[in-house]
Amino acid sequence: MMNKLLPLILLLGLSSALFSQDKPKMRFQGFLDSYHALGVENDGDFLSSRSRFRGELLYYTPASKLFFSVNYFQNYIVDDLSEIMIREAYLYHRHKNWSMWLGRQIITFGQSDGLPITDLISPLDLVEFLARDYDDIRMGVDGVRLNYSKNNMNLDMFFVPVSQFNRLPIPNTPWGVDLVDGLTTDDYVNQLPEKNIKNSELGFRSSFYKKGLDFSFTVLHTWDKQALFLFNAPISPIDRPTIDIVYHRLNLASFDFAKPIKKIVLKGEFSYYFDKTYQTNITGNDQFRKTNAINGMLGLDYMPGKEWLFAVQYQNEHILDYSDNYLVKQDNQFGTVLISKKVMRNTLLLSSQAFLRFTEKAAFNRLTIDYTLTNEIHVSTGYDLFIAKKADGLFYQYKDNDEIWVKFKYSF
Amino acid sequence: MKKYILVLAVFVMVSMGFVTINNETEAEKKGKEIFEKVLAVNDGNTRKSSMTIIKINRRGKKRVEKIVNLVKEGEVEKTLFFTTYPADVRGVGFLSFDYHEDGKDDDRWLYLPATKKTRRISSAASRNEYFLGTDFTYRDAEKPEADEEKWIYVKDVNKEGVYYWEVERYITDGESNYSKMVSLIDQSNHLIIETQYFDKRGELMKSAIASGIKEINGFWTALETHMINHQKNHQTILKTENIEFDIEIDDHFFTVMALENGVID
Repeated sequence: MMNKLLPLILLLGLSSALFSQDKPKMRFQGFLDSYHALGVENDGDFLSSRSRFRGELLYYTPASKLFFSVNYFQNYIVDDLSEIMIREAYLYHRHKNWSMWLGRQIITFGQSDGLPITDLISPLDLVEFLARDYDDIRMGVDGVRLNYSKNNMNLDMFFVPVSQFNRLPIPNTPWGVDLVDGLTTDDYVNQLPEKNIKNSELGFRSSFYKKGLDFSFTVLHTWDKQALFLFNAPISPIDRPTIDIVYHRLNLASFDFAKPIKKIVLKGEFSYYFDKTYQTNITGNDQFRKTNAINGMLGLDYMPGKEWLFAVQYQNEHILDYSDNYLVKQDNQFGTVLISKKVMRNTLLLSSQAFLRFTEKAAFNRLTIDYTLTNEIHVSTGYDLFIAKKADGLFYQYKDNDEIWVKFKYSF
Repeated sequence: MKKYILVLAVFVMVSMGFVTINNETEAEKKGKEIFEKVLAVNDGNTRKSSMTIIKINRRGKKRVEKIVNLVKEGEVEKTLFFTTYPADVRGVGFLSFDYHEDGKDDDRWLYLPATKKTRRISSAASRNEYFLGTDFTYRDAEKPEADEEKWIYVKDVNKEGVYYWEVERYITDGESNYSKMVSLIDQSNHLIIETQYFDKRGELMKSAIASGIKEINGFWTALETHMINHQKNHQTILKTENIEFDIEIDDHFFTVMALENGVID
C-alpha cells in the first residue's frame, strides 16, 4: 500500500514547493456518460453496457500544473470491468524554454490516427477492441517527459521506468478473443518484464513546425505493446493447456511529416524497426524470431468546406529477411477512412470511421450520429459493422459483433 | 442635319458618361480614403480577450460558447485561441500564423484534447466558410486588408446626432458570398458600426450591428456585434470581455507547445 502511495506523496510534496510561489487557481471538470450496445447477430444480447464518471482536477499557476483524471466505470455485463482507473496524475512545470511532466500521463505523437507506427509509448485499452472513443482507448504510463521548446521547435525526452502494455479483452466476454476453446482467464499467464532499469523505456523526439511543413524525428527504445502468445500443450491428460502472454523489446527510428497543399494536408510516418519479434509456426525455441521491418503510412486530410472532412490513411508493414514460417505475411496492409459532416450549425455530427485490414480482407466501420442537445448534453447513436473474409484474421473474431449503440453524455 | 444631331447625341452621351465616370471616381476616391481611415484604427500590437458566442436559432433557442484568445501583430500575425465552454470542447485550441504576403498560405494547427494531439490543418479552407457554426464567416470576423476590398462612398448619414459615412464594399480578392456589403462608419472613431450583406442575387442576406463602443486604454473597440441572418432566420451575438491591448505577450504562447498546454489565464 505504501509503495503505491509513495509516488503520490512525492508528487504532492513537489507540487506544494512549486505552487508556493504564485496564487494557484483550481478547476474541476468531467462528465457522466452511459453507453449501451446491442448485438444484432447474437439473439439481441448486449455486447457492452456501462456507465462512467470522469472527474478531472486541475490546479495551476501560469508556470505549473497539477492534473488528475480519474474514471469510474460501472460495467453491467463484465463485473471485472467495474473499476476505478487513474488515467492521468502528473505534475507539469515550465521554466523558460524547459518543460517537465512527471507522473502518470498519456503520451501521444506522430501523424497517424489510430495506426500505431511510432506512437508506441502509451498502450491501448482494448477490452472492447476499437468500439470505444479514442480517449478511452489510450492509457497513461508512469514516467517523465522533458521538453525544450523554442520557435516552434520541440525537443522531447521520454523515460518510462516500468512499461505498461496493451490491455487485452477478457476471455469469455463479448469482446474476448478465445485463442483456444474452453480456456479461462486463469489459463493465461502474463509474463510481464521484470521491473528494473534494464527494462525501462527511453525515447527522444525532435519536432519542427515550419512554414508550410511539420516534420519530426523519433528514436525509441521501447517494447512492442502488443503481446505475443505462447501456447503450452498439456503435459499429461489431467493438465490443461496454458497460454503465456509474452512481450518483446522494440527499437525504432522514425520520421513523420505533414504538408498542407491547398485544401489537403498530406501526411506520412515511417518507422524502421530493429529486431522486431514476430511469431512463427515453429515450436520450441524458434517460436519467436527477430528481424528488421519497415512500417510506413501515407495519408491525407481533405477539408473541402461546409464542415466536411475526409481523411484516409494507408499503412504497410514490411518484414525484412522474411521466411515462410512467420505467422504474418511479409507485407501487412492497413488503412483508415474517415468521412464526417457537421450540420445544423454544428449541432449534428454525422461520421463514418473505418479501420481496414487489407491483408485479411477485413474491416470495422463505425457509423455515428451525434446531436448536441444542450450545451452540456450530447446524445448519440450508431452502428458498428465488422466484415471479415478470412478466418485467420483478428477481425474475424468479431464477425458476429455487429452492434447498434446509444450513448448519453453530460459534461460539466 | 441628321449627322449634326448624331454627333451632338454622341457628345452628350459621352459627356454624361464622362460625368458619371468622374462621379464614380470621386466616390471611389472618397471610399478609399474612408477605407484607409478604417485600416488605420489602432487595435494594438497585441490583444488578449475573452469572447462569448451566443447562437440563437429560429425558435429562439440559445447555444453559448466561450473562447479566450491572444493576438500578436507583426510581420506575421499570430493568433492563439482556446475554447473554454461548453465543457465537452474545453481546451480545443487553434494556432495560426498569418503571413500577410500574397500567395503565401497561413500556417494553422488544431489541438484536440480528446486525442491529445495537434494536427496541421489547411489554411486554404475558404474564408467564406462559417466558423464554429455561427452566422459569421471567417472573413466577416476579420478586419479587411487594403488589397481585399474596393470601397465606394455613398453619402453622409446622421443618426441620432452621430455622423456616419455610408459606403458600398466589394470583395476584390477572389470569391465572396456577397454581391456587395453596405457599411456605416462612425466619422469620429472610424469603426464599422453597421454592415448589411447582400447575396449574389442582390437580396439582403445578413446584417451586423456593433454596439458597446468604448475607448479602452486609448483603443476604440466595439464590445458586441450582433449578426442577423435574415434569410435563415437565425442570429449570433459576439460579446468581447476582459479585452487588453498592447500587453506583453511572450512569443512562447504562439507555439504548438503552448497550444497543447492549454492554460493561458
